[in-house]
Amino acid sequence: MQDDDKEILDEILNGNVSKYEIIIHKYQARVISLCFKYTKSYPDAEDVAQEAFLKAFNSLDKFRFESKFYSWLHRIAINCSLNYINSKEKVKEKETISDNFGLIDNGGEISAETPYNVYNMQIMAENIESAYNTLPEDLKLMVKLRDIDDLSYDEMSRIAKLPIGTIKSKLHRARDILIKVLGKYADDE
Amino acid sequence: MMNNKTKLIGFLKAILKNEYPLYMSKDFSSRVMEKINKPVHSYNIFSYGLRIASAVTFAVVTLFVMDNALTDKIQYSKSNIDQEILSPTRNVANQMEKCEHIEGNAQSSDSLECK
Repeated sequence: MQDDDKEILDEILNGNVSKYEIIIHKYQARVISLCFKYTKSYPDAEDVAQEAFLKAFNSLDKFRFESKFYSWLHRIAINCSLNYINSKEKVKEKETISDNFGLIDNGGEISAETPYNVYNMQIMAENIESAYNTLPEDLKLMVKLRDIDDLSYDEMSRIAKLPIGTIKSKLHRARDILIKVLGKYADDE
Repeated sequence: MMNNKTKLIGFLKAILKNEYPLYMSKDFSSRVMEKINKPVHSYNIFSYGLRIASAVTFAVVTLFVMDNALTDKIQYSKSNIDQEILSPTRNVANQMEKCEHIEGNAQSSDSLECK
């Protein structure tokens, strides 16, 4: 199976460690979201996601490219989340005498006012959704096939009955439109 | 710039797939990279020197303690030692206790004849 990340991963395995940041940027939101399903708290979800990225990095030489990198990372993140739940259970058992003060979190809620050091993904999502809905149908199809359904360019070419070059060009245009919208809310650099 | 675009595409995919957290720290990736770049063991000259110094100090202290506290000093003499060994060190009376001296207190005596 051809992995889109193979080129970057090969570079990392050859010693270019800084390239791992591209991998983190690419998957951070999805991994944190996955961990949140288990931890129910955003700070904890980030801690667990961080551990998952570190574990993946440390055992990258064991990844054999037999599956997609994200599938492997996804599995690692689930294992880290389960370990987190088990360790939290142990802490709770030890603290049954106390009134659990400090253990109760707010269910992942952050105060109404977004702190300057976090991305408000909800606002981004609302704006992306409306921008996606206003895309021309042919561009919308490209985004759907590639970014939602994870199809390869060959598969997209077969479905859309267009040459791969045209597919890439249309996808590039569609992403540019959406990224401009996102950039307004994620512009922190 | 390249990293920023990758990040935005990552956000875009996460949002389109409906797999995004409501909030996310802006410095998440830099925190992970910081941990990756942090060396596990910092072996520098200072830490090596400190280890060697502590090992030498421990060895010297151990030898001193063994030499002075744990062993009896042997004293050598040029002449023969004729002095008898003073043993036993306690005075022991090997006499039978006479019961008539302790009349009325026979039960308190340890001697079997008095009981």
